[in-house]
Amino acid sequence: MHGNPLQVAAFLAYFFLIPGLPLAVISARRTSNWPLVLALSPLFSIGGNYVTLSLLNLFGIRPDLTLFAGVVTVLCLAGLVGLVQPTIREFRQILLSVLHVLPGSALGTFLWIRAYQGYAFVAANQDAVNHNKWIARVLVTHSALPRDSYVSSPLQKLGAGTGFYPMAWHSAVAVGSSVSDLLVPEASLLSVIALWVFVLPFGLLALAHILSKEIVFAGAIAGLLVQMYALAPGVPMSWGSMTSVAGIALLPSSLAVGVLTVKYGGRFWTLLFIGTITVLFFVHTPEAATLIVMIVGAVLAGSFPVGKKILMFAVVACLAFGIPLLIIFRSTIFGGWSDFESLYGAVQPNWDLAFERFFRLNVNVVVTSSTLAALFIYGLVQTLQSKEQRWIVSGVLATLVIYLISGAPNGILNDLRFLTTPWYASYERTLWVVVPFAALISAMPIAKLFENSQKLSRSKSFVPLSAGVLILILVMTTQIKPTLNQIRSAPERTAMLGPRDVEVMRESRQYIKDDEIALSWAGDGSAYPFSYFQILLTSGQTLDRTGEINPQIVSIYSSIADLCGNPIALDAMTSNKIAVVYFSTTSAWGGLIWTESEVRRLRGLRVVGAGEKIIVTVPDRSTCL
Amino acid sequence: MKALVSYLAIFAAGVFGIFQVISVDVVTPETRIIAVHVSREKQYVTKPFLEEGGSIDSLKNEGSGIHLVGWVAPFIDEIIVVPKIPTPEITLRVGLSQRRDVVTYLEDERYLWSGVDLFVANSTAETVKCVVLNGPSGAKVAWTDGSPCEWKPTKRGFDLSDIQDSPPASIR
Repeated sequence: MHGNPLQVAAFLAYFFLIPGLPLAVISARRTSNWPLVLALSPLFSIGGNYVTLSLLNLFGIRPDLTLFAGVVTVLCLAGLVGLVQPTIREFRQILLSVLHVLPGSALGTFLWIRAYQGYAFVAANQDAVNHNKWIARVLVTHSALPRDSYVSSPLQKLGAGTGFYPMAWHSAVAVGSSVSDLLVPEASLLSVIALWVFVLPFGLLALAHILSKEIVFAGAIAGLLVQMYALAPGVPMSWGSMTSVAGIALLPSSLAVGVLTVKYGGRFWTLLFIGTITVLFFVHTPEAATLIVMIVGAVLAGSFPVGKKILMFAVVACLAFGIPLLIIFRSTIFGGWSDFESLYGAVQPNWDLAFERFFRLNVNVVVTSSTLAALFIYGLVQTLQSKEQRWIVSGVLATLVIYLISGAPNGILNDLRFLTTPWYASYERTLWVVVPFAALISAMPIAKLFENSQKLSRSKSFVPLSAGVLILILVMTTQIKPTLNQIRSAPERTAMLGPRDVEVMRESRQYIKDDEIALSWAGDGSAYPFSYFQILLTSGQTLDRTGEINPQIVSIYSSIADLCGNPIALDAMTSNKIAVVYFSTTSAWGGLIWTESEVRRLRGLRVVGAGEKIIVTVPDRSTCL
Repeated sequence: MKALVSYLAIFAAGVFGIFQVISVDVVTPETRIIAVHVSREKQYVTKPFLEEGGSIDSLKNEGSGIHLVGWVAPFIDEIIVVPKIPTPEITLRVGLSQRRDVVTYLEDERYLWSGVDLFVANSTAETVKCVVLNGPSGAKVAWTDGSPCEWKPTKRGFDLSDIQDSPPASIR
């Protein structure tokens, strides 16, 4: 990683706390649920940055992002000191919650650092190429609107982006990157890891606090267990989605707000829940849909009284979401069935072992240890017995129904598959979202042992305490290695950059003047010079500096093997001010594209830099001789 | 007090987990040992291919030509068969050319190495002086008859069809 500790700290402080901290403190204060502060602050901060920036953009203002962050920080501090005024006692309570998540956070940090040892600190898959490109685009255009930032090529004009894409996480990372000067791909991966390692345990702690005030250690144990599931952190980082990891990490705190809303009702909680689910929707839509499913499941459990207030809330929520959804997805909803099916993100799975796969959280990854699966099932049964707690079981079982529908190959469940469109009808996605709750439910039996040990005499308390510790050790012994390997498989399989490549890209800037651009390809490492250093490049599109499709660039692409053989194409390099051509040896899917020797043999181009996977060339007529 | 003991127990479990993480044998790309399994008799164990590497393990007369069997690193894109008598070298392109006699081996979709099973017509093993593996940063002599190996790299053409198309970047 190229950022120094100060840059990392500045990024995390902004990303986690600004401007969401005051509202998070107010929310926690209302329920004395102090883990909520650091569980909700990042969620509100992502939302605050996104909404504020988007509103400014809608009015035609595209602010300097560092200046924007400065103003937001001042307002946030003014709100915190002037309005919220947290007390020393509250501060102490927040610190206590930090101590509770410390074991899980420390373990998670070690896991990720070890997993990326020897590799470039950059999320490595085709999904990360796109996300980093969009974040860098926000950084360049100072706009979070999809029409400006959701583009294929950095050379596209403002307003050229099409369709809808949730850009909340992207814009928060872009602002944080601008504040800290951390390179975009490093900031994006850092944010995802930090959400998983810190924010997710805080969310679980807050949720455990709501679930049972007596079983005090369930949250801390869940924070520890959740780091050991190979499914969510591993798979999205190797071939899945960065925003999935972000959304899943924010899901427990969002569910906590939802449950508190159902429990207490009132204007504050209703508005807070609408805000929470809106942010989650704009971070990653499948997790927002999961939240609704789990809330419905929780309400059906009968743990909460359902009165007029809740019904009113449901009506308000439906209106608040139904209308924007109809507008945003009007072309999909009214465009015919094939449009829906084009969103489906997974092939039909083998459905023979569906239940086993659900409880083992096993989709295309190393099987979770049997101990963890047994704890999950036992925890479900145990929790079901308590009327106050059974809402979480009901919520998880509701996700099981969604999981079964999403991948059903035939029968009535398959007919209902359209209901899982918010998850792209992808059985992987409907299982990823269960991970935090499986960890919490699996933690319940162990926490119960710890609780029992406190009720017994000192001599007898040793037995349940030892049993709890032994179970934890057993889970770790069997699960840590596969989890580590799973996370590590991401850069191992499809790393498009090596550690040296960042310097090669940095040095390549000397060949590009302000009004010049670079030629690059789509879906491989050659797209990263834009993400890292905002170098304007074609990214596989045939656009010129003005953002227009240019036939001369088509000609350059088709003649790249021998530009000397097509003098018109070689001239077009100069006339279109293409100063550099980037090549990548590795595609987004891990396959080999170019070898260095092939690039060195290209006529009309001279290699001026070569890292592990990136090769930098400049036009050179002397190679034609 | 008991609550503190419970918390310390969880903390200790976390520390145990950290030691587990540290104790996992994570080999960095620089030191990773790749065990290469082939359908042939030999099993290769080699360091990762950070430079030109490979081996020609068998060079036998077969019919009207010679049969070369071995493996090469992904960087290798040419195998040059240098004859004893001063006649033109035989250059065989490997790797991206997708030859039927070159098999690319993948592990978890990562291109590890190429198995080569080449037939060089109109030649005999006795006439071969050495076999050279050529790549971007240099070359490696993979087989010799015992005498010093000298060869002259030839300038080669380039075919656009050799380039694999980049896959479309999926939007998720």
